[in-house]
Amino acid sequence: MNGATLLSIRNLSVEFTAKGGRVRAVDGVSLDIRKGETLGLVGESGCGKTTLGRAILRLNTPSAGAIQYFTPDGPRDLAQLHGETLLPLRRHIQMVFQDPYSSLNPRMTVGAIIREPLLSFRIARGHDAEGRVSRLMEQVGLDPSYRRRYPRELSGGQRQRVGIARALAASPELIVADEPIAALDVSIQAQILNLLEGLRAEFGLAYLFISHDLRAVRYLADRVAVMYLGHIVETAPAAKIGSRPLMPYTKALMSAVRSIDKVARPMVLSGEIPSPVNPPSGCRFHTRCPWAVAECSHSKPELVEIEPGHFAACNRISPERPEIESMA
Amino acid sequence: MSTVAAPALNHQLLPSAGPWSQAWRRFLRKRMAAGGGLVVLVVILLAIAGPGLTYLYSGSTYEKQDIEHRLADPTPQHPFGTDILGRDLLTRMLYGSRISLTVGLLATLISVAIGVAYGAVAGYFGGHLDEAMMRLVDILYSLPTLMLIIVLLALFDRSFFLLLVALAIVGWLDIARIVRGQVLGLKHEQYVEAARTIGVSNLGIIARHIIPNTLGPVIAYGLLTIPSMILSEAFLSFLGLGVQPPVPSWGVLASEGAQAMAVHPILLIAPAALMAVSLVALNFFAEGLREVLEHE
Amino acid sequence: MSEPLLSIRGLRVGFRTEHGLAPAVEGVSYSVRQGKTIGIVGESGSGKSVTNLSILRLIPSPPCEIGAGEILFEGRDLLKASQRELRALRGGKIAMIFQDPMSSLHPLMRISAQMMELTRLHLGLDKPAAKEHSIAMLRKAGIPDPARIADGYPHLLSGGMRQRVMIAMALSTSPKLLIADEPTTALDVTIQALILDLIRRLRDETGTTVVLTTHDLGVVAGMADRVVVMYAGRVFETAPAAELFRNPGNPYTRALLRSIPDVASTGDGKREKLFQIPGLPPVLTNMNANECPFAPRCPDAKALCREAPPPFVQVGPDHFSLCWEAKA
Repeated sequence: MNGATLLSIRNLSVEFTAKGGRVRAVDGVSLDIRKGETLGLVGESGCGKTTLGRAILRLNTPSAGAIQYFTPDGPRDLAQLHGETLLPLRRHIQMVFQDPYSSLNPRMTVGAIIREPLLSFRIARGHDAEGRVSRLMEQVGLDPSYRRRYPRELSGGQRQRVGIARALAASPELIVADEPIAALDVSIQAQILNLLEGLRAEFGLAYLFISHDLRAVRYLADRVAVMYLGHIVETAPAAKIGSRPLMPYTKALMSAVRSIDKVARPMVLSGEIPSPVNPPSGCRFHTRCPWAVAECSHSKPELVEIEPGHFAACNRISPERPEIESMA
Repeated sequence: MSTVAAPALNHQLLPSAGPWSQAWRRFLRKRMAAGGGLVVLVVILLAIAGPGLTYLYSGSTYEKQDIEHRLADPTPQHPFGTDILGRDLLTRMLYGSRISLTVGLLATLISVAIGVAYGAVAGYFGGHLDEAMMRLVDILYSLPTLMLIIVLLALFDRSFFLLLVALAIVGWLDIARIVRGQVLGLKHEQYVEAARTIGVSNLGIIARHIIPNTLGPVIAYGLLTIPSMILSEAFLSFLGLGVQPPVPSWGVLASEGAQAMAVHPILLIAPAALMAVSLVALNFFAEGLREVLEHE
Repeated sequence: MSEPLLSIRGLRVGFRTEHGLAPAVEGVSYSVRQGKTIGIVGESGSGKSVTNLSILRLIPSPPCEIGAGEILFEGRDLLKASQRELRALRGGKIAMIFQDPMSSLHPLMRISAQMMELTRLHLGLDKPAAKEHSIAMLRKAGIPDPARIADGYPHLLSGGMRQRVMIAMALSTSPKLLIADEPTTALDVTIQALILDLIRRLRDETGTTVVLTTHDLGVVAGMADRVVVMYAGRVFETAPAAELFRNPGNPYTRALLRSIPDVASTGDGKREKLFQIPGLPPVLTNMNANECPFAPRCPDAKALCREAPPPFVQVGPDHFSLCWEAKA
């Protein structure tokens, strides 16, 4: 099951017109997701991780690049499809949204929300659909008697379960989960992480798990990609990203997550995240990087395989010198 | 450091009924609105059953003339007296209520149907389509609508249907604007995006995800439209352009009453009072409902 | 030992709803000495924010009603203080910062004007001195080009910058007590680290006492001398921070700590199921006063826990827990 590539993103860019000019929220990103794999996508607000996730669902229109989705009949480029031609492929890629409050229509009952994809993709109708709704609700840990309830009668965690059931109804191969636990209480977050992991094991799902919560990403993901101002700056197996981050931004992120048992002073970055309207030249991180040298302000580093399976984009590291030596 | 957000208690977890019945409960707490609703209900019941009852009681219909007793003072036979043609005023008032309320309701329904569809399409698809559709609304707004209606009614045969069309031509513009504004906000809600990812068509999204969520303000505004439609109908009928005699409406009755005002004032006072009370009650009711629905 | 600067004793706050009086805070007590930092940890609905807002009587009333208790600040009961006395304290000796800085900054007033209003009122500075003081405070808060920022409006700033302005403003009157309510929740991880570092630095510099309220145990671990864990409007555990994390004495605290995935673990191979607290946070209007509020979700609940409210018992040096287990 594992191994075969499911989704292959190549040089993808997504642009917006924002206050102050054009923003290239995603700028030449390449990523692969394999069948049954969980890819964690990490970064801070404005880094483009949500825009990238939405591009895969075609909730926005890429300005350049390809999103190849591998079907049994060969690859299809989602970036080139529209309307009617896109519709049959939508089934295979579903989304779980961040906000469990605004992602459910307040005027629809839980049952109607979960039933809708079954009807619109012509998967089931009538009695058959009702049976499937009940089964889906059980699979996500909701009592089927809740089907007549309205979203406002549910807690945040329960609503997120409804959102997961809706995504699951279409029997997708890939679920893009955009900050699915960010809005939930701490004691509920573990429940949802366990649910997502359980469903993956049961249905062989692949996830693109978008989050700023490195603890959750480290737990759920097989591989992690780190984004900064529209670029992927590091990808590595999940175990490596926690124990041996290479790119300075990843190092700062990891140290900022104060591990509870280890009360350590985080590595504090200077300055704020620059505006994506007018990103820094060269390496986009050089304005905040404690190891930046003159070269970093004009030369844009490429993603290089530093160690097997571990890619980083940094002018100061190379396969020969994976750690930055401090300044002379 | 002045504004403080109210502490978030999770009272959304409380067991509750659907959104509509919650709104209903909040509404009942408003006394003026509930009182207005009660009066409106009574007027509606009278409009439905009243003419039948007076027929059973005294054999009166809205057009039956009692030539012997023209401009009669109130008697047990004619509790509000008769008009200049000897018709029972009470029966005419009750029947007129039926006509006026029907006109108000139908004209509003037509306006809402057109306005919701138009506003939803413009707001949802946006871009050039939205631009073009809203410019058309602006143009219609700037026309002297009353003159338009008068010309329309003067040119064509005056029919009940034409009257409704004339009233609705003006009424849908506001609704379309309100709905478009709502839709512009709603179409970026995550549940609308979610609907796109689960393969719902544009039509399905508008019908199931967008329009139901605009209904609160639409119903509220629609209810406020009913009294203004009734008033417009009365005005047109007063000018002789609306409902055509011998069929009575509040406007027709007021018009007839005004002609006999000097000799027999009750002919003007009674229908005018009925209309005023009904409209005030309707406004209270609609205003209360609007506040409740906008609170959602 | 000196008297505590702030001491809350037996505070009870109710919240009037359609369904009756919800006990938002049920007998909360804690105290904090001059110059120390106390961390209040809890999920939404735990009563931590209501407790904070009660200190300066900022809770909306109705629907909130303070039922009983004392809030002693410098030995004076704030619950008995007049509105006039409270106004003198607010922004003067006691300052607050909130999760969303925009909600506490006036959008149409220049930042300098808002800061000057405070210092002129509470410190009696004249206009030029107040202006100079605000710029100095902004500089201390790490704001680049403070003179220019001071003449601007809040909406021009990023979230992290706004929170810096809030902190500069809150500390500009040299308050004795700073109440920080989820000050970093809305911020990105690397910015969170910066803001916490700033609060820590200014606290050490000025000797301000801090009440730090958060749902994030990690934030508290690096900041607080003492921790109070709240659940369902009650204090479930209180202990010195190091002791609490090393030796959590209450089942709720233990469960919460266990349910957070560890970012540092290598986690190779098969993923272990994350420990999860079952069930949902309690509904305040629907609580049984004759049982432990956590009993329905507690992994260690016994029959006794369902029969009587648990006692608040000492379990170690300066370490208390609300649980029947501690009694045994």
